[in-house]
Amino acid sequence: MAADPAAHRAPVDLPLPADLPLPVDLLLPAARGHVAAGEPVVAGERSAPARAALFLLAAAVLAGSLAAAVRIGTADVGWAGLARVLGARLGLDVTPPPPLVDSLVWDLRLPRVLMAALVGASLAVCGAVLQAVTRNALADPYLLGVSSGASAGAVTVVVLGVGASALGVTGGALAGALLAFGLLLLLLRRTGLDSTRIVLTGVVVGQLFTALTSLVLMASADADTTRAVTHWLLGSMAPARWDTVAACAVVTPLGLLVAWLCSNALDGLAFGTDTAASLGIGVRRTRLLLLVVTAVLTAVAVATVGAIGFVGLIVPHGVRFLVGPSHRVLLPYAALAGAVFLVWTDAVARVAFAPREIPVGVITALLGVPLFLLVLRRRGEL
Amino acid sequence: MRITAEGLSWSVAGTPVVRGVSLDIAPGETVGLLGPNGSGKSSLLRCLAGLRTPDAGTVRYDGACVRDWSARRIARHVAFAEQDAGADSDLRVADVVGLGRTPFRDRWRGPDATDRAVVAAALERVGLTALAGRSWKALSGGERQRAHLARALAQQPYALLLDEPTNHLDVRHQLELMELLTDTGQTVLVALHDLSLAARYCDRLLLLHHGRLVAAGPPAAVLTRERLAEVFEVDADLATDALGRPAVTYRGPLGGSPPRHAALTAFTPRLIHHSTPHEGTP
Amino acid sequence: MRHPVRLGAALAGTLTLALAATGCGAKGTEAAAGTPAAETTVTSCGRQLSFAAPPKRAVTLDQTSTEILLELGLQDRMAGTANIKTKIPARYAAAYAKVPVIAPKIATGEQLRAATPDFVVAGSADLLTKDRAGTREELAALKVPAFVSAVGCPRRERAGASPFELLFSDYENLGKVFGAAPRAGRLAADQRAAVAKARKTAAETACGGGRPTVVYLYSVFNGMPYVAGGTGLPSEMSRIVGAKNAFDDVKEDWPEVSWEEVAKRNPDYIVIGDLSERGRPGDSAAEKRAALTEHPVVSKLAAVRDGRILEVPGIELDPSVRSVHALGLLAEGLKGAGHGR
Repeated sequence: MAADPAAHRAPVDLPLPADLPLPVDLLLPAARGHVAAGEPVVAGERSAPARAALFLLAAAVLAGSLAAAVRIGTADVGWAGLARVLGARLGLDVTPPPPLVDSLVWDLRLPRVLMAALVGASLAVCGAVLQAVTRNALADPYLLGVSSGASAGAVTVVVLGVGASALGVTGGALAGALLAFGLLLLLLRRTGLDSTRIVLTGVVVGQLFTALTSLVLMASADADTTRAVTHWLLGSMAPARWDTVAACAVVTPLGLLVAWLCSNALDGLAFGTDTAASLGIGVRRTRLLLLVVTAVLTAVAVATVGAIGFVGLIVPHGVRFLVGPSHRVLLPYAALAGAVFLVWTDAVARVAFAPREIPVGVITALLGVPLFLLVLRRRGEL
Repeated sequence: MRITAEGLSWSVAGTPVVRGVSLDIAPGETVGLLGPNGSGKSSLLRCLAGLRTPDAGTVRYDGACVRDWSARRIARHVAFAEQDAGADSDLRVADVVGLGRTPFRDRWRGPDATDRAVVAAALERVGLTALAGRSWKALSGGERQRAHLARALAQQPYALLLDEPTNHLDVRHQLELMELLTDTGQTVLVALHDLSLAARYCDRLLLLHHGRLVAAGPPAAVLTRERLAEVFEVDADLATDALGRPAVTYRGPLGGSPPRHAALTAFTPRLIHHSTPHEGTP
Repeated sequence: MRHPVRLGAALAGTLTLALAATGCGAKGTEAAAGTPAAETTVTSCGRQLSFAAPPKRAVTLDQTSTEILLELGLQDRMAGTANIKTKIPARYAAAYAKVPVIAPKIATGEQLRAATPDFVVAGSADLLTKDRAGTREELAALKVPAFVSAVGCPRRERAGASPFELLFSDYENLGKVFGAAPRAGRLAADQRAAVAKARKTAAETACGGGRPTVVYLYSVFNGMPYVAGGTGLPSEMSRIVGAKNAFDDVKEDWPEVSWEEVAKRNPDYIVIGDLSERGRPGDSAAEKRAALTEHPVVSKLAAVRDGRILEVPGIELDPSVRSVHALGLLAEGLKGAGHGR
């Protein structure tokens, strides 16, 4: 019989052909007596409107953070200055600000704050996804060797001048990141993409490109170049401009959406390949899709602002602690929390050692370590 | 749903694990899959559940060849549960059971009212309603087995394929689980180690040895003293219990070493002798 | 430290004289500012910079640029400075005090814009990147021309022009931009004369025996010596005074080498860069001298045994308005210690 019997099953009350045996019907009258459809399964669970309100609140926190962070910088323009810049840009009837003040806010600070939000969201979600795909609590977005590839690419452009005019640092980093990921996929091509193999191969690829970076630096760079590259390796939001923000603004939401649509599969993957496959999840295909998505998101982020550490590791753990491990809920909150976290850490990086600015990666690590310890302790894992 | 297989073979790294198995499981039947460790029970189950692509042979659900079916389509027909899956998740029990709704869910939508009702009913069936909000990590081995069964039930399958679901369960829960399986009225293929439990609850038994199906039929026909000696290498007595089912009493392992009860008898006096002077020492 | 004071005093004297004598110079500047139709154009590191009028709010992004503008007496036209590596010399202190410091270290794009400059001067193209002060293209779009020193411009042929000539071309270009060409011309002429004098001193005191070799010890970090390589100013200084940088073959400004390599090259002279003003451990000349005399191998070198060790302010070994001073010290030192073997 070629017909798909499941096709006859939805909606549940549809009469079944007499010759088909009934499925395990948990909605038989006996079961209905105990459970009214729509009642929460777990006592005390939040209702749908309450969940929506909570998410809107979190989104409002992000919006507030963005607004506040635009005010913070190595140069002070004040609320009035900000209002004038934005007013003029929005075509309101205000006295236009001096062009350099306008540029300070519009060309530097706004894209920078937006970039921090996009990259933070991106890294946090990539971390959460890779932690599930590799079933490894220590996984972060740089596990796939993408950041090492980006570093090698950037250093090659900066130090050796290869493709400097055509690519620039960002292009070189992006090319390096994609090259590293391509090598990873090549090494994994005949495997089932199982967790351990992804982790080990990622480490191998990462080490290779790290070695190449060191080689180029040690063999050819002078002290100033090394310092510039180190600054970049630690991660800094300073190079963010509207063009890179635009690239991220296209890629990031798309990537986050794809990851979110896989959230059920991500939950299932925690129970191993066979159980996940038995739930109808195309395990290898899903893993491949998610690897590609995280690699592209990470590559785009790293290419512009360097390898900012810790966001992709701690934010997923912190958010899991707050909203639970179910990816359908976890991923959106991780995106918001990652964005808020990086917007604020970048703001701190701009003013903590004013008038000097320090790489944001230093701040994320400094703030990230105690937060991580706190989360682990509260979860009783340390 | 009827599950049939013809000439099923599957090997890993050149080593054949399942060799030419043909079987036919009728709708509503509860079938026990028996065999010693390494006999290919788990692999055969996975082939039948569409998780492994056999090297040769076919698997049919109600006569339809499933070779080209998508994972999702298969998951709408059969549910599969393995032992010790996902020890490290901290999903809540209700969410784990909710995973059983995956094959029916649109990627865009979250769990709807039907999903929630089915999950609640499945939890009720396995007696885990009170633990619905508990973290997976906080469950005992037995509770996890029951939760996995609930997850399989939430899939509302036409057939259940279970790999040693009674592991970690105490006697009461073993019996409850087997009764629950037979009560579903659905096609059930269950790999078991406990021969008596299998004989007590299964309509038919399949006996695997080195990847081959060596016997199939009603419990009394499959479980014979000779077969147990040949396949499991044990010396066992078979009697008929009060319910008219075969009951297995083991005398001991066969082969190289002497029967265990004899060895124990021989060592007992020495043990007593040696333990007395050391009494009270840690 | 007697030499710098003496030279500083001499320079200050020259400056006073120049300021007193050049009423016409100031008038010339005003004349240039008063005729907006005449547009000034200079080429700087591959870009054409045009000025309808001399800049009034210049920002310098590093100490070298700052000192050049101060030397040209342009402090009233400066809106900010950044990236001070070491102390500003006493002779610029009063002028420097009038100019705001927009960032003690490398300036950010925000800090630069907040200073609302109409002209930016950088000693190196590295300072004008997206993650620092912003690119020259971005600044050009904001109608802020950015001047990059010919010395710190990566496009220049490093093997080609002398760093001193590049430096002098900077003076002249900046003088043109600010309408202070006469004064910049005098500065370039004075320093050219100083270079010629050093060359002459060396030539007069040479007595055959080939060119003496010199190792320039800039700093010691992690026990490893950093010395002048073939692309930096010291190689050029060596050529001018008829000597040879022992690490001419290493194509870096300040490569990290090993003590064994220093010993192997067995230089006739060792020049120590005194970085006392920077003040980190091991920066002072005394500490570097100690490192040489205490090292088991290096201490046995003839240059160390016979005390053929010169000290110059380390900062002057990088191209700056002060570099001719180090060149003078070097020429005198090589003469005093007996030229050739």
